[in-house]
Amino acid sequence: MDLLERYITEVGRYLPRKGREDVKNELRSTLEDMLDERVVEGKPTEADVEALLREYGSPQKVAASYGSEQYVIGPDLYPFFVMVTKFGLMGITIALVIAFTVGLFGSTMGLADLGLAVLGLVGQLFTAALSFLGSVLIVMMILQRYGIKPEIGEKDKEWHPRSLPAVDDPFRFSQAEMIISIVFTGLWILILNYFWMQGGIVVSVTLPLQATVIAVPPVYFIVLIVIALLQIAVQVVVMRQGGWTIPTRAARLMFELASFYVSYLVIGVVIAWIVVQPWAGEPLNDMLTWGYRLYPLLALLIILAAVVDIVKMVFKANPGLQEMLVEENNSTK
Amino acid sequence: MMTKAEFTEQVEKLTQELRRGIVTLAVLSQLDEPQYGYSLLKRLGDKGMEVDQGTVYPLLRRLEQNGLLQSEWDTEGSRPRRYYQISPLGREVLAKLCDEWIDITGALNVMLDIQTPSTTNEGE
Repeated sequence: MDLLERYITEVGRYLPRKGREDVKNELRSTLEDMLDERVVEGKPTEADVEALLREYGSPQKVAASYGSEQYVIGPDLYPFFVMVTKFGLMGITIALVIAFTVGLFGSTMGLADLGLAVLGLVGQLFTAALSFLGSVLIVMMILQRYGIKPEIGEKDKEWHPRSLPAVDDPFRFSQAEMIISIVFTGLWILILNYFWMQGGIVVSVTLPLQATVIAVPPVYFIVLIVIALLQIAVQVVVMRQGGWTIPTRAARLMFELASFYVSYLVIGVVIAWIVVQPWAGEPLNDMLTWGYRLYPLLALLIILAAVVDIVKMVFKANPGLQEMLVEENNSTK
Repeated sequence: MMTKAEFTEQVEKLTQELRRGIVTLAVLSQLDEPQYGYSLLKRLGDKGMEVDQGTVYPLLRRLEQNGLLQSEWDTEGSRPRRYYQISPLGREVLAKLCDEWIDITGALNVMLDIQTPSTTNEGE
């Protein structure tokens, strides 16, 4: 019987935790039933058990037949994953190569140094690609984990061609725009990640490898990265839902404000750094501090834009009001 | 050209696909009275429908999760067994599936030029 238990335990290892014990118990009772049937007289020998298990199939195969599909990125998400990855990697490569080329001007490097710098670029590309893929993967895994409910069938029933947005609808949802935005957010994450690793904002880099850094507490970068990841998640949800809804728009507002606030703090650090530089002087310092005081006003603009959007959505949800709104839009054009 | 092995593999794969939905119908039809997995398997086999255990047990669980079956552990017999029985919802679903089955087989018999189930004409 030892073999039987070993087998059942092994099957259990590949099963999801939920319902695992139940499946194991059922498997045990089945296998014992089968043994009873095969061995008419006496106790089943080890060879009997072995033959039965061999026939029943490998533990992995048996566990897999319970088929609660466990995907990191499932078939629904996969095409999207490929798309984001493709655009993102392309974007990263282009951005890094441009940055590298720009860096070459004004530097006086020998051929050997140039060779080293190119090698460095390849290394940078590799790390950037890895961390981009990593963050995309995390987002996709979260989506997969929580977005797995296959409501597609029900949605299809409710779907009606008439519910398609009008061509000049201000909320017409552009998939391409959304993807580009996601890719840029991805690049933003890379930059933040780079700054975090460097211990602050990199102002200038002289090849080979000498950077001027404005020290910024790492926590700012971490928070900004987390917010950016959440923003990507919201955008992905919007893409899956086929358009903005009031909750997603509200979430966007929240993340925008959070990101805005942290950037505000970071800019404060940068200004404090500039002000004490030997090349800084009265007029520049005054301008910066004055500008900095105005900066929070931008937050009001963000809130205003979101409120306008949300109000429009409420109008849109009500067909009567929507007509009025569309007319108004047309007349103002 | 397809080798014989590839041909067999192809046929097996398609047969499996074809049977997948039918097994559900067969299982639901045989659970008026409570059965445990292994007894159900034998019952299906006796009626000419050989089904692999690897298919039946997970299917039973899925059907139960969807509310088409009810199950209960019976710990009084020689060993604990999980008995499955069709639920009221399962009965309703089964009736619908039966209608569907009649329609499909009717239509396909015509398409495949199979006269009636009783004749042995294979329809060249």
